[in-house]
Amino acid sequence: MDLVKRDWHLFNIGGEYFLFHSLGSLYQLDEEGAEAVESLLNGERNTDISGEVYREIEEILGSYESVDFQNQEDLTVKSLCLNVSHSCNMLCDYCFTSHNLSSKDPFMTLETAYRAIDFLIESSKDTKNIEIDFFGGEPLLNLNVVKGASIYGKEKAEKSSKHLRVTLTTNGLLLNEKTLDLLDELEISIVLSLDGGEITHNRFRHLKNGEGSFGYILPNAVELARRRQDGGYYIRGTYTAETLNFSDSFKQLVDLGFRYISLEPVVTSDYRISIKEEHIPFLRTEYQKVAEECLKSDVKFFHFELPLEEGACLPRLARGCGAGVEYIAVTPNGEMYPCHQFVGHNKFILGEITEGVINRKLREEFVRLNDINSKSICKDCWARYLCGGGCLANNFNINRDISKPYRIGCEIQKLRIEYALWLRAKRMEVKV
Amino acid sequence: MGRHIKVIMERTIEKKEEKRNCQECQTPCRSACKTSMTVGNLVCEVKKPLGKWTW
Repeated sequence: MDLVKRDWHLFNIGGEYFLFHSLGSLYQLDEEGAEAVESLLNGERNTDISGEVYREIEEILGSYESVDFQNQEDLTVKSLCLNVSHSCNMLCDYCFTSHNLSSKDPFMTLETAYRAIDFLIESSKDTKNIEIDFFGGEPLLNLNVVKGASIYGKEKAEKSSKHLRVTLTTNGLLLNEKTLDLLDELEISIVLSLDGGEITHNRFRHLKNGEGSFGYILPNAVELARRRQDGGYYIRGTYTAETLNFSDSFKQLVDLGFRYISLEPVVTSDYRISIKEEHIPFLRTEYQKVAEECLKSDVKFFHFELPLEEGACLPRLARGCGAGVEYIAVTPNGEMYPCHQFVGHNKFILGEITEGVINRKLREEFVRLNDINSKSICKDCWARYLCGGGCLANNFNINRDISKPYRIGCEIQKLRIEYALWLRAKRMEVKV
Repeated sequence: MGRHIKVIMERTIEKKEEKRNCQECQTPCRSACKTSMTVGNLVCEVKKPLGKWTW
């Protein structure tokens, strides 16, 4: 029996061996079983291992054929990122937008937002579920447009027999009671940026006068979590080379009462704070600590939530993030980009909201790169159907090439998947 | 269950789903400035429709 290397991943966590198959299978092995699988992955048999072990493994794994899924159909636009404000009331050290956003006319008008929603409704064709995400700058600086566009979008969606979900990414400074009442009423899901405890958060996330923002944001974030104990928010933090011990931040956020947490590696070309190859072993221990904490509680760490049984179908899993194809970012002046991270880079303008996508060549490039098979590194990666091929904007930001995967990002993604699978296995043990 | 290998879960991305492709699930933006959702985090809207919230 041969095991096709690109479909299988053998890994060891805490002395326990696990084997993952790209179609979403997970096995646990003892040491001898792991050695046997390793030999089969190398196309050989280890004569020191008894035939009985191989027979047992072949009995269970022998039915797998090589997975080589090819997508045929195109994707439809169904999600817009509306940059309603290119202005921000903070000045975070690692913000990717601070250098490339125009300060001229920084706020989107209601008219532009309405046009964007009309474009979304029309472009989404028969797709029922559509999304808008308010982003910035700081979107709450343009609350009237957030409100007006949400109401307009939900009404238009209903008339078109569609379901619109709305998300807003905020630094939380303006998230007072009145604004929270409005966002609750409009059923807007919230991503709130909080890096951890006070020291960690204030290291990079400042007000414009340089003062740390933690003390201003925390009460608003706590109130958000109090109101939404069953979901509808994520606390999203960034870790950097200077704040690598994000498991401490995770624990601090849990202690503050947050149950939905996502901590992300900074993506920057700033050498001082960028994540480097030599950080990966330490990050492994950090993810392990977070996974162990999750096992003890019902806190959801975003990257460990892999709904394998209830997850997406293979045609969707074989595609990427959808940037430029099913997901488009719109600037305050109505320019369209493949995603919010490309905003300000003129060569990535897809078109203007009144005229639709006119840069067909650029769109075709994104269609191609959204296919997992288009990138040789991804095509042969065991994690391809849980990853989707990474962030094209990160590829550009780090490698200046949207088709060249950001290698550190790949390594972190694989770590996260390993610990998500480990957590799944452990949770099932606990249930039994 | 064998002595050397134990099944935890099998073929959760079932073959019968291969041709569904209804495109009703969420868009998995991978950007770290949001939540860097991957396709692996996606929930199938047919199997388990999401409620009013995005997550």
